[in-house]
This record gives sequence, C-alpha cells and structure tokens, in this order.
Amino acid sequence: MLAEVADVAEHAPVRRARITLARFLRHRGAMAGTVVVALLFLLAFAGPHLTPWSYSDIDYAALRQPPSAAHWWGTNGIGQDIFSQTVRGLQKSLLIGLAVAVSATTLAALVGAVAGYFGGRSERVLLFVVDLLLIFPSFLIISIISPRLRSGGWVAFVGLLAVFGWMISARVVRTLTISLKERQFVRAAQFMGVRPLTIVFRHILPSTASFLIIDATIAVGGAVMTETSLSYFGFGVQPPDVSLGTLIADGTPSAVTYPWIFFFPAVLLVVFVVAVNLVGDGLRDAIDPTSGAAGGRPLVRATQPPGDAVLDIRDLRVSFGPAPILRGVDLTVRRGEVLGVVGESGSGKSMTALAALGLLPAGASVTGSIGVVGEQVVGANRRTLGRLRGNRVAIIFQDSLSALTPVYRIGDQIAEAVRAHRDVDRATARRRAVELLALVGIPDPQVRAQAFPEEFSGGMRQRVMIAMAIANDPDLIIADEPTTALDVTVQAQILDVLRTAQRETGAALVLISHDLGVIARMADRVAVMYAGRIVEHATTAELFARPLMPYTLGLIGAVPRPDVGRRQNLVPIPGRPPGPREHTGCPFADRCPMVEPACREAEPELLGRDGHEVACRRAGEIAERALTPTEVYGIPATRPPVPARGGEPVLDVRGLVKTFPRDRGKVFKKRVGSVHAVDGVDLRIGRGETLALVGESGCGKSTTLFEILGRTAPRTGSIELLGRPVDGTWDKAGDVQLVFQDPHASLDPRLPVGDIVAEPMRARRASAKAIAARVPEVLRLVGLEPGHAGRFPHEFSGGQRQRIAIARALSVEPALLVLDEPVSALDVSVQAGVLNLLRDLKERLGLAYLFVTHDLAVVATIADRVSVMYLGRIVETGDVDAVFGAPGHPYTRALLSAVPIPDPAVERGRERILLTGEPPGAGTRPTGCRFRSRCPRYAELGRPDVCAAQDPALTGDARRQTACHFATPATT
Amino acid sequence: MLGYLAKRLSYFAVLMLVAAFLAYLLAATALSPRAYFQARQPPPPAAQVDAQLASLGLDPRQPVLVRFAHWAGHAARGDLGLSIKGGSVNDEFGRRVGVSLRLLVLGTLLGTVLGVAVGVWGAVRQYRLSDRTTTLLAFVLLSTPTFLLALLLKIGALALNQATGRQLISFTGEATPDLRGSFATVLADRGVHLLLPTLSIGLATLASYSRYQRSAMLDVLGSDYLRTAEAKGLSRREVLVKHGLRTALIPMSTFFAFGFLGVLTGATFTEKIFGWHGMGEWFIDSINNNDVNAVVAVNLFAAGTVLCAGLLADLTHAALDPRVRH
Repeated sequence: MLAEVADVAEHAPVRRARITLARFLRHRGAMAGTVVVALLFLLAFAGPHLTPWSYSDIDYAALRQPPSAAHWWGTNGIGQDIFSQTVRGLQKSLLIGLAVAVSATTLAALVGAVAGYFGGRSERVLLFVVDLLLIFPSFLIISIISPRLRSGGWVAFVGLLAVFGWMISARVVRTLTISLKERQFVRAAQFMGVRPLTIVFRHILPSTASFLIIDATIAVGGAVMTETSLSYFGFGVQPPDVSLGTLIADGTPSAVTYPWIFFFPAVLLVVFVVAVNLVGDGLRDAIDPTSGAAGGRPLVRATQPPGDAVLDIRDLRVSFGPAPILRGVDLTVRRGEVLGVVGESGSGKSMTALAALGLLPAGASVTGSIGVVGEQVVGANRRTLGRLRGNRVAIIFQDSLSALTPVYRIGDQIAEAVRAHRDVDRATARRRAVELLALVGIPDPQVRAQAFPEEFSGGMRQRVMIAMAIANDPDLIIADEPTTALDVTVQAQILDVLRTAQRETGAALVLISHDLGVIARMADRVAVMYAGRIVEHATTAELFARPLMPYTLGLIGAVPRPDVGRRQNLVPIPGRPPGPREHTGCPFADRCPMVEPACREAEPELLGRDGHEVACRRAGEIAERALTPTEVYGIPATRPPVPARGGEPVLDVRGLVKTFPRDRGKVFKKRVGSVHAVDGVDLRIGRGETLALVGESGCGKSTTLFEILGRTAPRTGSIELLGRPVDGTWDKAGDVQLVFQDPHASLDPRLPVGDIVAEPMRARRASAKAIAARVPEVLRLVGLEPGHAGRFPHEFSGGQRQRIAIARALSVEPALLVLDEPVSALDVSVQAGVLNLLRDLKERLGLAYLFVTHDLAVVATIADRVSVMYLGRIVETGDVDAVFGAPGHPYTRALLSAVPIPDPAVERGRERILLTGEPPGAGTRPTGCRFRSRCPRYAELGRPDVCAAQDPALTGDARRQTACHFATPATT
Repeated sequence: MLGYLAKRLSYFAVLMLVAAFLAYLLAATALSPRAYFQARQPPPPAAQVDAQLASLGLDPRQPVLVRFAHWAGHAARGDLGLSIKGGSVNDEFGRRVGVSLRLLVLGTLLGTVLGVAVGVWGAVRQYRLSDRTTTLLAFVLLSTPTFLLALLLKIGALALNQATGRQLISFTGEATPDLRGSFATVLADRGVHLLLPTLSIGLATLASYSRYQRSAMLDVLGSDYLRTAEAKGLSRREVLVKHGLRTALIPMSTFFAFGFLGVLTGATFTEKIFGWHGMGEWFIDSINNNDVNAVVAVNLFAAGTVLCAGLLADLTHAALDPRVRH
C-alpha cells in the first residue's frame, strides 16, 4: 500500500501545482499570513537563544518590571522574563497545534475515506460518533479527563486533542468520498478490476487533498485556540511548563496595571491564528479555480442606436478582461421568425443569448448594440431590463433542473413570472399557471402544479420552462440548447411544444443548438458561429443545400445520418476551436483543409448576396465547384462495406433479469416491492461484430451493461464470455473493457496519461516491462503519440481524451469492448473522428463492440446489429439494415422518426410519429405488452384485447425479430 | 412531517442516553471525589470519607456500572443526586439554568441574525471594500478564542470606566447587588451587565456565521435558477431575497446545530470570566471540586440544549425547504 502511495506521489501533476502556487503567491492575505507564520516559527525556535534568560529563571531584582534593555518584554510578579516565557509558550503552543492538526487530519482522511467508500457499518458508526460528539462536546470531555492527564504531560494532551478533533473533518471527507465514488474515473477503475484499497489511495485520497491541506492548516489555528482555552482554565499544559494559554491566565489579574504580562502572549496568539487562517483562505482560493476577483472595471457601452426588429444585434463585442468571447456579432430576427444558431461549444452561442437579456455575468465588457423590440439592452438600467425580461423577451435554458429554484412549487414559479409583469392577484396568477401547464402538454396540470422541480422528469421540466417563457406572450423567445440533455423521443415532443408555443404567441424564436438535425427541422434561417463571430448565414434550405464555408461543410459532413448508414464516411474537423483571443487571420485557418497563405493575413468579413453571407475567402470556389464535405476534407465519400464476421459468440447473455428492491422510508427501510430494471434480456455478439443496444433513458440499458461488466454470475439468466460463464475471476482471453460517455469525467485528472492507460494492466499485475512496451503501442493505435504518456488529461481536447479512454480499454487486449454512449458528450465535429477510429479499430483488430446509445443515427453508422430495449425488455432486434430499413415494432418506428436528419428537404417531408408521454418508471411491470400505453398502433387498431392480455414474444427470422402482436412485416 | 419529527426525537433520545452514560462513566472514573474530602483540614478519617462517598452514591468500592445504575434510577425520577458539598444538584441546577439560558439565547440570536446579514451583504458586494473589511474583521474575531475575547472586552471596559471615572459598563455578575429602584432601573442595570457577556459569545458566532453564510450565498448567486429568476423580470430584491437568501439559508440550518456547540463552549468561559453563576461556571468549579454528580448534570444540560438546537435546526430546515415536509 505504501508503495502505491509513493507511486502516486511520484507522478504528482506538476503543472496544476505550479498554477496553484502562482495563484497562492498572488493572494496578498495568504502571502502576509505565510510571512507572519514563518516569522513566528523563527521567533519560537530561535528566540530562546537570543536572550540570556531561560523561561523558568527568576530575577529577584526585577519584579513586574516594564519592558527594558535587560528584560525586553518586562517581567512578571515573580521576576520571570516575559520574552523568554512567551517565546517558550509560543513554541509549546505551535508544537501542540501542529502535532494535533497533522494527526487529526490524517485520521480524518483515513476514516472518512474508508467510511465513505465502503459504507455500511463503518459509516454508521462514524456518523453516530460525530452526532454524539455534538451533544457531548469534546471540550467537556477533555476538561473532565484532564485531572488524569497531569501525569502524562503535553504529549498525552496532544493525543487527546487529536482523538477528539478529527470527527467533523472525517465527516466532510466521507461526503467528498461518496461523491467521488460516483465519479466516472473511480467507476472506471472499479470496472477495470482495481482493488478497493488501491482505488482509495490512488484516486480518492489525492482528490480530497486540496480539502485536507486547507483543513489541516485551519486545524492548526483551531488546535492552538483549544489548547490555550484549556490551558487558561488549568486543564491543559501544566506548570512549570508554559503555553500561551497559561501565560495569558497568569497575566489576566494584572492586565490593566501591568499590561505587558498579559498583552504579549495575547497578541502573539491572535496574530498567529489570524495568519494561519489567512494562509488557509489563500490556499482555498488558489485551489478553487472559480475564485478570485475579476480584473478591472468592465466597460459597458451601447455604440449604436437599437434597431426596431424584434431582436437587432449590431457589432456586439463581449469580453472578460483581455479575453474576447464575442468579436462583432450581427443578427436580426423579425417577428414570428425562427433563427437557428449553430456552432461547436465555445463558439459564443450561449453568450449571445445571455447578452440579449442583459444576463451576462458581472465582469463582462460589452459594446455594440442589442435592440429588443426597439429598446437598447446594452447598458440598460435594472428597471428597463426588468420590464423587458420575461415580458417582451424570454429565455429557455438547457439544464432545467438547475434552472428552476428547488424549493418552490412548479406552479408558483410560473405564477411568479405572471405576477412580475401583470397586476393580477395570486389566485388569478395561479390559474394562469395551470392553464399554461396544460398548454405545454403537462397532464393533470392542476395537481402537477403542486410538484417540486425534482419530482419532474427532464422533459417535463423543459415544458415548465417553456410555459414560464410564454407566460406573458413575449415577442421573442430564446431557447439555448433546449433539448440537448433529452431522449430523442422527448426531444421531438419538446420541439413540437416549442413550435406550438411560438405559433400561439406569434413570437420570434432564436434556437441555439449544436444539433444540425434540430436546426434543419425548426429554423427558417441559420447563423453558424465560430470563435465569437458569425461565419455563415443563410436560409435553412440554402445553407444545407449549398454550404460555402469549410467549417459549415465540416459540421454537416460530421453528422451521422440514419438514412445513409454504414457506408457514410464521417467528416472529422481536425484540431480544436481556438481559445478566446483576437485573430489576425481567419480563426479557422489552422483547421481548414482549404487554407491558403492569404487566409492567415486578414480575417475575412461576412459578405454575400441574395441573403447568403459567408466569411471565407474560398467560398466562391466552393460554390462554383459545388464541393461536398467529403471532397473539401479530402476523404472518400463512402466506406467500402465490410462483411460482418459473425462466427463464435464473444458474449452470450440469456434471460438476464436484474431487480432492485424498492424501499419505502428513509430511516427504517421497508421493502415494498421490486423494480425490474432488466426483465429477461438476450444478447449475442460474435467476434468482430458490433451490437448496438438502444432505448430511452431508464429502459435498462445501463443496468444490463453493468451486469455484464460486474462479472458475477447473475441471479437469473446467464452471461457467458467466450463460452465461459462469468464467475468473478479474471480471464485473459475473456476480458471485457469499458469506455465511458464523458472523457472529462472518466479519466483521473491527477494521473498522467501513461498511468491512466496502464491502469487495467496494473490491476492484472502485468510486469513493468510489459506495461512500458504496451503503452506507446496502444497510444499509437488510437492516433496519439507515445510522447503523450507524460502529459495530463486536461491538456487534451475532448476527442483526444476519448482516444485515451479507448487506449486504456485496449491495453489489455479485450475480446469485447463495451462503449457506453462514447460520443454523446462530444461535439459533432469531434464525434466523427472518434466514430471513424472505432470503425477502423474494429476492422483492423477484429474487436467486438457492445455499443450502448440513445442516438440511432450513430447506430446506423457503426453497428452491424441492433437491439431496441423498452422497459427492461428487448422489443426488436436484428441486422441494422433490416431493422432500420423496415422497423417492425411501433416503438422502433417512433424512435427512428424522432431522429432529426440534417437535411431540411428530407426532414420536413417526413412522416413523424410522436410518442405521447414518457416511459413509465421501471417500477411498473404491466401485464401484456409493456409499450401499449404509448403505442400509436394500439390506439389506431382500437385497443385490441390481445395487447393487454398477452406479452408478445420476439418472433421473426434471423435478420429481424420483433416483439409485437401487430408487427409491420419485414421487406424482402 | 410528524413522523419525521418523531423519528428525529427518538434518535435524539438514544443519543441523550448514550451521552448520559458516557458522561457518568467519564466523570466517575476520571474525577476523584475522595481527594475533595481528604483535602479538608484536618483530614477526616477514611471511614468517614467512605461513608460520605456512599451517601453521594459514589462509593468507589462498588463497580462503576452499579453506581451508574443507582444514579440512573434516581435520574429517571428527576433526581440528579447530591452535590459534593451536600446540597441538592437539582436545586443548584434550577438556580443556574436560567442564567445560562439567558446568555445562550441572546448570544445565539445576536450572532445568527447579524452573522447572516453580514454574510449576505458580503456576498452581494463580493470583493468590494465593505466585503474585504468585514472579511478581515471576521478573521480576527475567528482567531480570538472566546476566553481571550471576553478578557479583552473586560479589560477594555475597565479601561473605559477608569478613563471616564464612572461605572459606565458593569461586567461582574448579572446585576448590581442590592440595587434599589424602579423596574426600569433594575432592567437597565441587568441590560448593562448582559452587554459584555452577550457580545463575547455573540461576536464569535457572528464571525463564523458571516463566513459560512457568505460562501453559501456566493454559491447560490452563481446558480442557474437565480439567472432564471432574473430572466423572469423580477426585481433585484425579489431575486436576492426570495430565490437567493431562501435557498442559501438551507445549508445554514445544519451549520446552526454545529455552531451551537461553539456557543455553548464559549459560554462556559464567558460565565467564568464575567462571574455569572451559570452552568458553565458550575462545570469548571465542579471539575476542580471533583463533584461527579454536578459534572454529569451539566453534561446533561449541554446535551439537552444541543439537541434542542438540533431540533430547531431541523424545523428551520423544514420551514425553508418544503421538500423535506413531503
């Protein structure tokens, strides 16, 4: 275990430490504190050598002498030198403080981490002890014990203070550990088979280090204060030994008449503790990247008069200090129009939205003009903004859980929006809120208005956000990624509601999205943003038919399309978007396949005719030659078909059932039933084959996956890897590895890439030599360089990080790679590169993939076979071509029709099947067909009895099997 | 909600029992009542000391668990036993409890209310001069142990009285002995006596509350729902108070339970230093007198008040966050 700790320490993230140090050095209070602490230490340990007096010497000739040359700080009632006494007391107090802080923090770290990680009894005992200590304070205990302590000296005292000083910190470490345990990089380590204690020492404790350092620092001050308090009352350090506490006690009776006896130790005590606290505060600020004052006073100035369109943005520039976020944005939105804004993350889309409502964070400098229905927003006062916001212009945010105040009922939050702008009484506003909820399609609105935000699903909350936005019939609605976190079926519903709401109110809509399919479906016009500017702007039909900027071409070419399928070669845009800075040339030049030297000389302006504007020097050429994305990026338009290899099964799951107990009550748990998360699932994957498992969130995909990765024999059903039932042991040949969704979360930020990649090998006790040979190999395999092994995850882009995660999984040459939504956290431009890599690896290495995703377009590009899951069951399975070409199950049809296709010509002419409602919770286990409550076919056919009576089984041929009594026949 | 309260209360009862048991165990083993009697002049004979100890229920020849059972049997009937000086612990408890509660309640109120206000103000005006000043003051207060703060206040008042030549601020005891006069005079006298002790425990609470409240408020100020509230067109005051403060107070209710511990400990010093005959002073004197029954009684008082604070924190939490009531 110690070797492991040393191992971690050896690779401490040097860069991060350096940044933290720099921030700490800039913190004035912390620096002052450090200097003072250093000086006091110097005084405490060098002081005794400076004066001829020892702390216990008595100078009978000098009783209660004020400070003089002989006694620098004077003497006390029996002629002892105050300077040497104080210095000695300081020394003792510092030693006690340090010793207590170090031992208490170490104890807190170990106990907290273990209790938090392993839970169970150790955790309950810890919590009880902390509660007990609350009502039976340690001060009382120590005071009571102190008579016994007198013989033990100050070391026993330190021990006592430490024993009673660690609990509250341990409780914090426990809380941190519990949240760290849920972090993906810890779960990744668990799935790789790393032993629990190793995880605690390698991943958990280093992550709590920043808290522990701060805590230890502040604990020094706390321990010194406790020590002096106890010593003051005679419960701590015992005479003849002295500490600051005993000295203050000695000086108290004569504090007014002979102040030096009292004040020197008292002032030293306060100065020391203040200094220590300042150091702790500085550390906290240095470690927390969000802290710290913004530099300088921001400039906010409207430089032009507002236009009279609903939204009229002219030359909008926003910057934070020296970093420009928006660099001259022009946008006009007319009444009733839908403007789509697309671009990679960080392109400035959301900032534009926030600016339009005057909601930019403090510290933003803003110039230019934003006219909202003819009123200037830039530099407007609170009154004007208050009148506009929620009334003339409303906004819908992406993350609806954090965007609603958790402690107020849904209905009240909507009513509040009404009352902010209309002079109506509470009851009227509440009635209006219920009407609005009904309008956005919330069933049973009267009752649901009483719910709290957390009781709603993501889709429902987004409907609430829409209801709130339209409460006062605004002229403009801005929706910032309103469907990004949602399932495709729910996304389709929300887009529908948004459309309806927009039509009902006649408002203009600005729809911000990274999803070109959504834009193609909804927008009249599209603005493409890059590096804080608009780089292309046209009507939707025109933009998708004739994109003119290589960036736009890349974005369009990167999107997988379910209607094209596996032949489609996805266009990855190389590199990553530039950070916020000024540009001398075209900001896209470094990533552009058509760059020429002139591009780097001046930033092209947004120019164009016939309403199609583009900021690119080569646009004319692209238009003339009608270049396609694959042509511009120089890759073949289609991939050669690769025959699925099939053959012996790598994974064979039969009849898998996983239930969770359903409990009621928080303190006294009572089992009231079972949740059937997975209810009889069969999966088979052959060598070199990719099986996609799709379904809405909550359908049981993840549970299925974790059962497979858990490697323990399931209670019901069987899981076989390479023909061997899983039983918890490792099998070199039958290894399964996992790639998580979010590469930011699944890589431990504190470990260098080399260690991350080697972790599964270490868990299998591979030799150092084997690891050293394998790491560069797999890094090359995923398109990285062996030299990257020494760097840390934060130095890589999202796509590169996902490559690191893939390299980690491949390091042990697994037979099966489980991919849990591996591209859904990535920008579409980056996603294309990762998907291409996965396809290449599969072809070269003959890997088998279990690809879990909600994105059917991705499935179409990468999978050989697909299984569609609904409420713990597979409802349809088969070859991707067969299933997607002619889906037999109404659910599959609905899912497919909900996927937006980035081609307005196709997208707008499609028949759309909107599913009503959301999947019922996994707790319900309806009789008959589980899907019938939402099934359009069931409704169409007049609710046939057989659907309610009989649970349909999977039937069909080898190419497609469907579990539906009224399956659409397969095309032949 | 009632069920929730009932559960909390039963958990508190268990904690209280364990605390009583441990307190007795600790006091009975660590203190040595025999030393108290032996220190008398002239030292009484051993047999007499044994008899006296037995009459107090502290016969060292009996196992400590038996002694506890004896004590608990009486305590269950509301009798906390005899003090080492021979008087009833109950009577002494009754005399002192009001003194302590007055200090505790006033100090907590002062510290909590002002602390919250200062914290919110600091968060809203983050990094401005006012915020930096209150931050520095809070740090200095947090770095001064209560006993030292009390001493400094006392010395300050003494110096002030000397400088003005009048008894401007009285700081010894609860009231001027033998003071005669109208009700208003007596009240004013008591008020003046309350000033310094209340300040000395209130200021420390104020300082720590203001820091926690400031950081809780800062968290909330950066939250998405505050932005939503602003986007609705609510006034700044509504945004900050209705959506901001309300949610920022929720984590503070947990802190209140922890914070009360500091107040209680601080009150012990304060009473001793300002000569208030409360529970804290009694505690320190009892330890020095090796008075087991009195020490246990004070521990029970401490546990009881902390549990009340905990219950109050739970109720506040439920009042602020209606989701708890569900």
